Amino acid sequence: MNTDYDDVLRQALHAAAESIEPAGDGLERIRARIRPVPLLSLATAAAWCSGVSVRLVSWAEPAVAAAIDFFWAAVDRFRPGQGPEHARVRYGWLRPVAAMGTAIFVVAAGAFAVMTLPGAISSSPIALPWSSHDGSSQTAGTSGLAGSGSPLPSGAVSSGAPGGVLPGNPTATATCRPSGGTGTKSPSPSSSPSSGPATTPPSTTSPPTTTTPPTSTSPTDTPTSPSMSDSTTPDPGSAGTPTPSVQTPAAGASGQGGTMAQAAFVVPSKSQAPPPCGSKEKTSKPSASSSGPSALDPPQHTLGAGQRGSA
Amino acid sequence: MTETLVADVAIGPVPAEWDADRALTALYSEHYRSLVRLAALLVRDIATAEEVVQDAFVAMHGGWRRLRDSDKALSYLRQSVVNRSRSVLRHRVVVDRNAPKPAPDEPSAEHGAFTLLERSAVVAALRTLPPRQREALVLRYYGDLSEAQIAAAMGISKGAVKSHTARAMVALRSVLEREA
Repeated sequence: MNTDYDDVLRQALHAAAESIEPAGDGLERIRARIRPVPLLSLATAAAWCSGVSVRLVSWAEPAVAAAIDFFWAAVDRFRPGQGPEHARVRYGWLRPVAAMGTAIFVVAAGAFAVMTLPGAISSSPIALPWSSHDGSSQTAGTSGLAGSGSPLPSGAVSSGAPGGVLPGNPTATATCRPSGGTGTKSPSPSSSPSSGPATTPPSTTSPPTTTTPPTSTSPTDTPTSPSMSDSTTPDPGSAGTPTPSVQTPAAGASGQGGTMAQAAFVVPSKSQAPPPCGSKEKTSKPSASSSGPSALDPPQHTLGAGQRGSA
Repeated sequence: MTETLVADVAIGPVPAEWDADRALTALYSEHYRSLVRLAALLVRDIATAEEVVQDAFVAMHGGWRRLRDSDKALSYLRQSVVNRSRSVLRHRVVVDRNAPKPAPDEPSAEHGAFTLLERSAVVAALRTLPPRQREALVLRYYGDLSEAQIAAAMGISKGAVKSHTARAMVALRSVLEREA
């Protein structure tokens, strides 16, 4: 039944479609719709273009001529000359300008290097020997005074360290906080010696202190090598160094000279918070813990590499 | 044997290097008539069918750079004809709704064109079907297209094509049995 309807429908549709015959001009109509319609005729466009071109040329002719002249003038300016005279005249100014520029560059580079190189070196994690000498010398002087209980000059303490052996302790530098003193190396009997300038090399400070003994109440200010034997930590390498012997007389007065001297020397480095150099409290602390062996450990612990080897 | 809309009996593979004008000429000579008849079965007007097919060829000419294939071009033409015929019918519905009613004894302008197509009772019954069902039947029984091709031409799925075809056949049978 369905097949019958399918055949009937198919035959009916084909019969109806065959009766339809389209017009023969279909392709022409399609091409006429495809072909773009010109907006302007060729004659109109040519006339318009000719009029515009005539006006444009009459107006732009001087401008074009001026532009061409300017172009050739620029070309002639940078064109190389025919002979050496021409080149010297044209490019004679290049040499002094180049020399001046080179000089300015060299000076600027040198100034920049001078300004930035010390900062870069100091900011490097490697501790340089000369960067920690001053603080240790001040600490030594302060502690020495405290340990002896007598107003010893700070310079006297540091005078016993020729070449800045003990002052080279980096820990001492860290423990000593500048108290704003002037850093004079004159022997002052005061118990609060002002901290030495951190920038002053110890080699320059120690000679005056050794030659001018202060008027201190300490029994002996001169460093003696036998006093080193009193120290609990004999330092063969620094036997000749007068630094421990400075405190030795003061310690000898109390019976524990070497120990006290060492303790007075190292206690500031034990304290975590660095007190100001030369303060009364700090000077009293070393004297209180002068005889303890624990007070001797920190100096060895905090000594620099060179100091540790000598200790 | 009548001509069909099947692609394999078309002009064959059109070289890709052909320009749009040459492809248009080839496709026109091979498929224009069948496409006009298909459109006439859909829109029931020969002149409108010709305009629809010509619009489709113009569109194909404009999009030949994308197509560059005879099969794609024929499928494009077929789908374009179906869509434009649908648009014509939709527009005609709106026009008929708003147009003033003619006098009872005055024949309409499209009456002459319709009479040519509706001589057969089957074609007259086909007119009573909904547009989608009519499209499915025309494409299947006149175009001899497969379900996939009908689906591509109508823009629907194969299942929808089956559904439209089955419903159209049931409706057409009922109409023919009622008239008989």
